[in-house]
Formats: sequence, structure tokens, C-alpha cells
Amino acid sequence: MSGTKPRPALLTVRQVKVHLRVNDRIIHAVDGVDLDLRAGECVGILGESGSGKSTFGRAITRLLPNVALAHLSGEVMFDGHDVARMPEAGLRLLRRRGGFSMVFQDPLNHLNPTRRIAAQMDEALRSIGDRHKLRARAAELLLQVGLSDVERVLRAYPHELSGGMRQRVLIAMALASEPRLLVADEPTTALDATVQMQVIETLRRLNRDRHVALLIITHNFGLVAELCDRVYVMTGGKFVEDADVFSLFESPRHPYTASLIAAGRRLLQPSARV
Amino acid sequence: MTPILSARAVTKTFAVGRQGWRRKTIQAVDAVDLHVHEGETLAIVGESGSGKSTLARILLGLSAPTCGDVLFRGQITTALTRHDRHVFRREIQPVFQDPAASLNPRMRIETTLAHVFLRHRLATPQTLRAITIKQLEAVGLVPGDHYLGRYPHELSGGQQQRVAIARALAVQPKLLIADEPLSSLDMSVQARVLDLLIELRRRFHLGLVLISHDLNVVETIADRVAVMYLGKIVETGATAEVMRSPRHAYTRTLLNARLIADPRLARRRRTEEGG
Repeated sequence: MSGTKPRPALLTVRQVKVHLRVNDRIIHAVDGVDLDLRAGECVGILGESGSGKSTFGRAITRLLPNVALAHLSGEVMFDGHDVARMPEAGLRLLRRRGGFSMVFQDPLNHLNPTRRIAAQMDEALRSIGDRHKLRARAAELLLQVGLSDVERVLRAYPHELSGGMRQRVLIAMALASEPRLLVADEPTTALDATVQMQVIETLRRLNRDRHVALLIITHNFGLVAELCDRVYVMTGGKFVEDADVFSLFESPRHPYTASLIAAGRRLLQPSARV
Repeated sequence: MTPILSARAVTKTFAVGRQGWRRKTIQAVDAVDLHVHEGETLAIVGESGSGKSTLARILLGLSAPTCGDVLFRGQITTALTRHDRHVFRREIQPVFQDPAASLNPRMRIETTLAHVFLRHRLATPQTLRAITIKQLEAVGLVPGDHYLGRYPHELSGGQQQRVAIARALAVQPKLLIADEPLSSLDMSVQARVLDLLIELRRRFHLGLVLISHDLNVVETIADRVAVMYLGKIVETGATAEVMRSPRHAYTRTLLNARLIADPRLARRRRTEEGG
């Protein structure tokens, strides 16, 4: 990473606010947030539940529900496009090729339990306008995320796969549009320790070999420490600190960050074994 | 000394369909022997599907083994006298993974705890409120009266798990069997609940069977560890020893899969592995 010339900005977020209407009250879920992400970079957003990090992830990918329930303001520039104010048609183009995709925490909730993986991969590919050699392309994507027994995976129903395989199938689908940015909301939280490591490895390879920029949204310090170049710390809808991953862990400036990292050390580093 | 709880060749077989006219089965738990002494913390680690949760349910008496026995203070649990069975039910208490699912969503916290106190005759209607408040404060929900009238959905995940722990401890058990008690919680909350468990263990001389796939947590809290793989216990020993020199390949895989909360160490490990 170091020593190369600075890469062009891919995502620039300025003063983004999301107001949600819940029971006639307005909740400021995201409250004036700035973020910069360069092409090929891996950035983490670290926060606890309720900090607004998932809402932020959905806001910048324009996956928030109805405008009447959620109001987004501020500026989200993705590669020169103003995503915050883009009409649906423009978003569709951006999602179809070279834009952004999102991966969520619970893979079982995002796959159709009654259809085989092959059918769902086809759908993902067709929806982005890919109509030719669907099966070959699907197999290629599955290989890309480190699934080896591709034929079996394609024939399987979601319940026949392990959690880690399901998560990798979802990542494969997200990659169908060859996105330049993958937003992953708690991509490993629902997974076992060993499987978690495989998914981390998959994401790392995408970032390193295919230069897909990653925005990792998580409460897991370990995930951030393993994967990210830079980190934003979020609480109460605001970023309280942003730093490169090394200085964040060595000398956190904000007391909230320090308390998070102390808790993480407590859980993740009892014997400092490498 | 007789262990407070032990398993003797416990096996659990589930039917998973048919193959022609023969029934297909899987051995979720396969001839498991283990024991826990009073005041001891035993961790059972293994990945999902290794049978550790099934084993926990069998130890709790929530599920009957296909063969083998569970022994409570040396006596087979299925042959306990009425009185001893009551003691067994009181002294061994569960804590589950998802606190939201283990609390009744339509019951106020006060009612949830009151049921336990009244059922075990640990409180009279007059003393109930004071005892409930004290119990909530023991698990760090301070001030306790603040939480009495709340419903589970009004509490955070960490607070719900504290209520679940308070309920388990209400009957002054000798052993908690906790099935992934931390994994549905945020990391900073995990650290706090872990500290709570350590403190309660010391204060009440509590034994703990901790089911987990997180070796970091296990290393912090457990005296002994048993590693489960495909229904069998493949390795067991003192925690420090298993961590230092794991014998089974699966234990080594688990150790290598631990996340490290230090970006430099994490990256160094990666280059050492040639990744």
C-alpha cells in the first residue's frame, strides 16, 4: 500500500444526515458525517449497536426505505456521481456495472430458501444485464470467493450450505456487477471462528487482487485490526475519531475509542500469542 | 471428591430421514465422558454442528441422551428421588445464547424473576420486591427498581443477558451451564458481561460450564477445556496447557483462527503464514 502514488477518491461523504421517523418522533440516526474513501482502500466503521453505523451504510448505498420514513440529506459523491440525489434509474446503472454492492450480516435472511443457489446466481447476473453463459460466470464468481466445490454449491439449496459458504455465496452475488466498492455490514458476526477467518481471507483477497474497495461496518475490533487500513469510530450518529488502523490502536485520541479498544484487548488478546 | 455433574458415555442420535427402508441417523454427541467439580469452570469449545449445544441440553436435563448417563453428585439423573430432582433442577441453571428469546416478551422483568422466587419459595409476597431489586443489582442493573417495570424489548442485549443471568442465579445454583452467553452481544458489552461472570463466580463460588467457539473468551475464564469435534471430545486438559501445546489438529485450527486486537500482530501473523 505505502510508497505508491495516492489513489483517486472513490467515495466522498459530506455532512450526511439521516432522520428516521419512528412513532411520530424524529430520530437523528446519522447526524452530520464526513467520510473519504479512495479507490482500492479498505476502511472500517467501528461502532456499537445503535450507533447508526448500519443506517449510514444503507444511506450511502441508497438502500434506505421510503423517503417518507427516512430522510437523507448531505452529499454522497461516488466517483463523480451525486448518489444522494440520484434518481432510481441512475442508481440502477451504478449498481449494474462498476458501482457499489452491499453484503449483510445474516446470509440466511438474504437468500431465498426455496430456490437453488444456481437460480439465485442467475437472477443476480440477469438483473445486472448479464445474459450470456450464466452458469460459467456464476462458477467463476464462486471460485473468486474461494468456494471450491462449485458444482455442488450451485445445485444446493441455502439450508444445505454452512454459514460461511452462504456468506461467500452472497459476496459472490455482490461481485456480479464488478463493483469498485463493497459495503459489508457485519460480514462475519454470524459465523464460527474458523469460518470467520475464511471470509476475512476472501475479503482480503478481493481487496488485494481485484482492487475492490471495502467499507467494513462492524463492532468487532479484531475484524478491523485484521482487515482495515483506516478506521472511523462511530457513536450516537457521529464519527468521534478517524485514524489509520495502527495509530488508532496504539494511541486512540477519543476516550470512547480508548474504552472500546480496552474492551477489545480484554477479549481478543489474553496471551498475545501469534 | 464427587464431581457435581458428570457425563458417562453420553450419546445422542438424531434421525435425519430414510435411505430406502433404512433410517438415516447422525451421532450429534458420540460417547462423551466429562465431569465438572464444584467451583470449577469447564469450557466446551467446537464449531457449530460439533454437538456442543446438544451436549449442554443433555447436561441440563432438557434433552434425554440416546444412551449413556448424566450424573448429579454421583447419582444418575433419571433415577433421582423427587427431592433430589428438585435439588438438581435448582443447583444446575442455564444461560442461553439469545437473551431476547429466553425471556418472555410479554412479562415485565419483575414478573419474570418473581416466578422463580415464588416457585422455589425463596420469597414471600412481602419480601418479593426487595429481593428482586437486590438480585438485579447483583448483576449490575443499578438501580434495580428502575428495571422492575420494563419489558425485555425495552432493554439492550447486554441488559437482557444480565436479566437472564439474574434469573439463573436467583435460586443460588452451584453450576451455570452457559451456551454461547456472549456471542449475540456487542464486543464492548461482551467484555462487561464476561467480567460479571468472573465476579459472580468468585462471589458465589459458582461452577461454570461455558459452551463457546471463542477461544479468547475461554482462555480468559476457563480452568479446563474440552474440545469437541464431530460429536466427540478430541482433546481435554488445563486451559493454559491446551493453548500452549494443542495436540489435535482441530484445536490448532481454532487457535489460528483467533482474531487479534492488534493490527501489527495480525499483519505479522499473516506474513508468517504466507497469506
